[in-house]
Amino acid sequence: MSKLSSRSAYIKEKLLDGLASMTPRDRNMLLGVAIFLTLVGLIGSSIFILRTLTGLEKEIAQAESDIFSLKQSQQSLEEAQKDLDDLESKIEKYKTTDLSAFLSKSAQNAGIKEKVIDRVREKNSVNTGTLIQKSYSVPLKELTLAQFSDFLFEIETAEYPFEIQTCSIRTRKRKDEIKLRIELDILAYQLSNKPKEEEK
Amino acid sequence: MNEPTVAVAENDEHPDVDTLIFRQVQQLSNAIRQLLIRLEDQFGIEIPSIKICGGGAEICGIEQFLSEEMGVPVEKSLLPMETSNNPSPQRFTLAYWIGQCATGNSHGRELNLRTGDFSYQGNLEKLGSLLRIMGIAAAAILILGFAWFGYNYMTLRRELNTLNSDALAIFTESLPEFPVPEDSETALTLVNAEVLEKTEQIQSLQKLFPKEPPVLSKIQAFSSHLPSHTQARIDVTEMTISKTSINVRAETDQFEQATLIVQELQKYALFSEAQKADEKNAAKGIRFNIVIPLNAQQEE
Repeated sequence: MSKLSSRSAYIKEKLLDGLASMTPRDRNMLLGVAIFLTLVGLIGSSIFILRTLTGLEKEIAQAESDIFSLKQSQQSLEEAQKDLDDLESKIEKYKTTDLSAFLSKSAQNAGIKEKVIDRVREKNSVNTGTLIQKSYSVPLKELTLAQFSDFLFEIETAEYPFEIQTCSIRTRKRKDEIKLRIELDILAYQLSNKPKEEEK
Repeated sequence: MNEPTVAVAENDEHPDVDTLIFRQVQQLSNAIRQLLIRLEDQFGIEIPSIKICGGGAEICGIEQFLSEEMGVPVEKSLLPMETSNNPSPQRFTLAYWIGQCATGNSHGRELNLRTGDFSYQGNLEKLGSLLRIMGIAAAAILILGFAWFGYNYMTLRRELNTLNSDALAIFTESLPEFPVPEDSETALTLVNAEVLEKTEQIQSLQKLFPKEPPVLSKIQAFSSHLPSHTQARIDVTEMTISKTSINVRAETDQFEQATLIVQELQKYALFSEAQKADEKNAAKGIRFNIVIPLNAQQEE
C-alpha cells in the first residue's frame, strides 16, 4: 500500500513538474485536449448506451409482434389442421371401396339396371407424398343422355376422392334413339400411409 | 570574482558602518528566506532562482551574499519602467507604484511587475483543481450512467427473455414434433411455413371435392348456351371434356348457323374463347369442330 501511494505520489510529482515546465499556451492546449477527450468519452459512452438500449427495445417490440403473429398463426394452424383432418376423413371414408365397386353402385343408384361398366383398367400409380394417385381408364356401355347425366351426377356428388381427367363422348343413333359411348380417364386418390408409419 | 564587500565586525558595543549594514542585510535575508519558504509551502513549488530589484539590490555584493544564503542563483533585475532613456530613481519609482497599487489609486497603466522573466506562468494549483474536479465529475457521470445503463439493460434483457420463452412455449404447443428454435422470429417463420404447407395440402385436397360436379356442369353449360333449335340445328357427334378444354365435333345445316352457334357460346364467360374449325360439307349440311379452351380461374 505504501509502495502504491509512493508510486502515485511520484507520478503526481512528475505530472506537476511536467505541467510546471509548460508554457501557458501549452497548458491551455492540454486543458482543451483534456476537456475534449472527456467530452468525447462521455458522448461516446452515451451513444453506446442509448444505441444498446434502443436496440433491446426494438428487439422487445419485435418479440411482442412475433408473439402476436405466433398466436394468430397458431390459430390458423389449428383451423388448417381441422380442415385437413376433415378432408382426410372424407378420403378415408371410401378407403375400402375400390373404383369399380363405387362406379357400379353409383350406376345402380342412378337407376341404370344394365351393366354399364365393361372393365376398369388401372393404368399407373403415383405416390405424391400425401396421396397415392391411381390412373384408370373406364369405358362405359351405350347409355342414353339422361342415364349418363344421372350417372355423372351420382359419381360427381358422392365425394369419392377422384377426378375425371378426360371424358370422351361419342353419339350413335339407333332406331331414332341416341346412344352415347363414353370413355372416362379417371384419377382416384388414397391417402399415403407414409407419414403415419413414420409417426409410429 | 568579486569578494563580497559586506564584512562582519567583532565589536558589538561600537559597531562600525559595515557591521550595521551587515545586520540590516542579515535581517533582510532572513525575511526573504521566510517569505520564500512560506511561498514554497503555500503553493507547493520550488523556487529555482531569485531576482532582486530596487534600492537594496544596489548594495554591492548583495547578489552573491543572498545566493550563498538561499542556495539558489540570485540576479539583479531592472524594473520595467527603468530604461536608458528614462533613468528615474529606482527607489522612488518602486515606492510610488506600490503605494498607488496598495491604495487602489492608480492612474493609467498599472505597474506590471510580471514581465520578462517575471511573466505570469499560470496558476498550477487552479489548473490542477479544475482538472481534478473535471475528472471526478466525469468519473461520477460515467459510474452513474453505467449503473443506470446496467439496471435498464438487465430489465430489458429479462423482459426479452420472458417474451422469447413465451414465444417458444407457443411454438412447442403448436408444433410439438419440431425441435425448439432459438428465438421467436425463427419460431414464427417455422409456424408460418407449417401453416402454408397445410394450406397447400388443403387446397390440393379440396380440388377432389368440388362444389359442383365438374364434368356434368360443363355439359349442362354447353347445352344451355347453344342457340335454340329454331335458330340453328346442332347434332353433336363427339365431345371430349378435359380440365383445360372442350372439343366438340358437330353437324349443322349451314356455315352461318355454325358461326351463330360459336357466337352464342362466346357470350358465356367460360366459353368466351370458343372457336370453330375444320368446317366441311357433309351429306346433311356441314360438319365442323368447336374448340373451347378453358380458363381455370374462370371455371372456378
